[in-house]
Amino acid sequence: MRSSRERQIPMQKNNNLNLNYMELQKFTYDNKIARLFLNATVFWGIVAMLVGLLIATALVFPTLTSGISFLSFGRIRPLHTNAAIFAFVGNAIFTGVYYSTPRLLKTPMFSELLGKINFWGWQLIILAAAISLPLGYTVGKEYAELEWPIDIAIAIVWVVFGLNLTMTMIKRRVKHIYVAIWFYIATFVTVAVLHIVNSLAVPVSFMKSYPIYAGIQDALVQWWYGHNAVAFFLTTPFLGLMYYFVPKAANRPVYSYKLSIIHFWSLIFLYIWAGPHHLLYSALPDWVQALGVVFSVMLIAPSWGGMVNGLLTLRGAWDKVRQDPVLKMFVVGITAYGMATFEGPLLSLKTVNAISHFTDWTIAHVHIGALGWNGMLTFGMIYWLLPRFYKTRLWSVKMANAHFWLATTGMLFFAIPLYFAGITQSLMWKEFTEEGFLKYPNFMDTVVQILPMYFIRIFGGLLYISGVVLMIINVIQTTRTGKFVRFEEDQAPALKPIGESNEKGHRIIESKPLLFSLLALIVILIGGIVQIVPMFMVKSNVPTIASVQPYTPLELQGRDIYLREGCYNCHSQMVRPFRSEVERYGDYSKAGEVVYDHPFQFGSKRTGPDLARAGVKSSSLIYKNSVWHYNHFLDPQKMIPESIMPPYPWLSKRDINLSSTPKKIRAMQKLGVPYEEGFDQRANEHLLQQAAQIAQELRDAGIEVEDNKEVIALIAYIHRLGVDIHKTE
Amino acid sequence: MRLVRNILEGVAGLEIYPIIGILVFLAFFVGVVVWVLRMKKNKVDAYSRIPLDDDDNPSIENKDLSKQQSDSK
Repeated sequence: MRSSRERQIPMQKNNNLNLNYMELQKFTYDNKIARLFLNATVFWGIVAMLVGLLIATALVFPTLTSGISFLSFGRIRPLHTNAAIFAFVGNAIFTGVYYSTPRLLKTPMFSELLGKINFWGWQLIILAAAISLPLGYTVGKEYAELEWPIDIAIAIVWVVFGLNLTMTMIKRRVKHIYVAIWFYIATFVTVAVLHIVNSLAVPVSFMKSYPIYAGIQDALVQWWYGHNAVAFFLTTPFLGLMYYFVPKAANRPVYSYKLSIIHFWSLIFLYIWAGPHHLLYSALPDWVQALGVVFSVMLIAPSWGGMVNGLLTLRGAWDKVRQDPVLKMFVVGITAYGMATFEGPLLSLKTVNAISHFTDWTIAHVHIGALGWNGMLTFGMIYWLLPRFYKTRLWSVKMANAHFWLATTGMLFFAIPLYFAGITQSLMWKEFTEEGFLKYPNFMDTVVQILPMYFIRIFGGLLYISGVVLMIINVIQTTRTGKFVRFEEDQAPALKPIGESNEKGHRIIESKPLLFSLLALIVILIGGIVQIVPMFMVKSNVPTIASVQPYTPLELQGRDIYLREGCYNCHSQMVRPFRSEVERYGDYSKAGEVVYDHPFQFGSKRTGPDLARAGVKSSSLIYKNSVWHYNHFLDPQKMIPESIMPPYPWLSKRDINLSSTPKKIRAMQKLGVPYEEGFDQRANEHLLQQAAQIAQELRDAGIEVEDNKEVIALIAYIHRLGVDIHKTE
Repeated sequence: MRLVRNILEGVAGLEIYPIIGILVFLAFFVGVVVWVLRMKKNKVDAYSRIPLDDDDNPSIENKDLSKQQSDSK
């Protein structure tokens, strides 16, 4: 390390081979990339929110986009989540990182070219997502829906970002690396690991792949990823931004720098373990669930450490907070962070989770985080940065204040009704009559009950979005009144070579970026390995349930249609071991039942009923025959007048893609699914036989349908769900 | 239930993982706390002012910041 540092010093562009380290060196900050990212943040922010508004409206007017496949709820909801997380928040992260990193390290960013690749690459990825998701190209794993070519692009662009960040650290002029940068580094390192591990897949064709993991193992990896995407994409980078922009805006240092160090290491250590709390009461082994709960509860300490540190930075500056919309937004943002991170551990308790899981409570929870923490911090940052980019004043402080109030009330009008909705619906699902029957056996009753809350949520969303519209006007007007100043000058002495000082312990770590990154990597890997490695061992130990067989080719095609239409966004496939669920849905789900599920489809929300036993005729309230399903897919309201499911008329028009069947079977064989040798060539024959039977059933009931339509495959898949373990009975 | 029991029995020593996890975290946490408590106050104060060290107020660390700190108190 030492010799490489010494070599790098003379290589710095800006010091002109001047090795007199104490002399002040002049250099410039380039605002170009940060401004590009800021514009992208504003643009994708409004897009993500409008898409959110569209799907919120579609929930109460299910036929809103009827007949238009690429606007249906199941395809657009992933677009909303991906746009909010990776486009809006992602660009906000890059804005803040590209602005603050050079200033904290007293050096320009390492490479303008890498910055450009980072920016344009990221926008292209977003564009690819915005096109491919509505068209139904999806892996079918929440928040990791993008198909393998886009996944590879994400990995490349992310590494470009990391390289730019790390190299900037290496050629810095300050010895100590400020804590905000630690958070950026942890973000880079961990997101890279999460993304790669969770996206490993076997390609079937261009834009179609199957994850290498199956069933319960896939679920664990997915929620290890999903939870830590929240941690390391929505939280740590924003804590870094908080540690830079809050002191800047308040013009005072952070409340406790020591606290920031402790809470940094505790946070990244603990977060990585908490993923299994998304799978409580599922077929995941108990010890993994327990691990997830314990670490989730412990997480409240470092989370609140961060919140307290952020809020107390404003001690003695509350008079400023009253006037400055930037600080107001920061205060509400950090408070929302505190609320969400109090609620998180609460929701991880098994007793609470039994009620909250699969309901709108989760949706309310994440929007406190997204609208409050990420949204408010981003808006505050934008209002603070703009006048500095354009060397002018914010066009309208009044308007920014109005935005603050619209955003705050909008968030409350969004979240509070959903808390009511979630708890109400869950209690209705669980309620029994005195005679011991489900009080609301008809799922629809519990939906109708909460629809008014969905309307209020739309109102909340409208308030929030109107605030953003005000911001857009303010941004445009501010850019008009000023002139963009691309370069800003600064000066600092060159960094003394490490050899001249005799540092010990953590001082060495914090002054060596690569070593620091490595340590952060080890810290986050411990949690992942301790959880995931035993799960791989478990997989080899899952006793085969003899009656559980791979899907037939028709069912496999049907399953891919189920994935394409995003059914998992509203329907779970995981019956938890509760009396109320077993009564309603059938026998609780077992790990051995899903060993051929690439990917798993447990789901996380029950806007509609669970489908894990949708094929079991005897034991549930859920089973429906082929004719019912056919009519229901084409026009749900015809079968259930109050239904909020959108119609899928294209399913009866589009042909099953027969040419893909052999490829899919071969991909599954590669993944270890025991289709016999050479089955790929006979698969379509088998498929057509099974399809003919179902189609004949429908024709017997007077429905005109051809054998090779997609709806046939989907019905075959639905009727396969959960039946295997009943074969032996 | 039989299934779940079978899975757990199949992997020896599983219950040790959560315990190892907690112990590793505790050791790590104690290490960080000890290190932070031993940090020198003037250094910490200087670090915490890095974001505020603007172009009109160049550089840090090598400079004596005690005057600034007393101003802010």
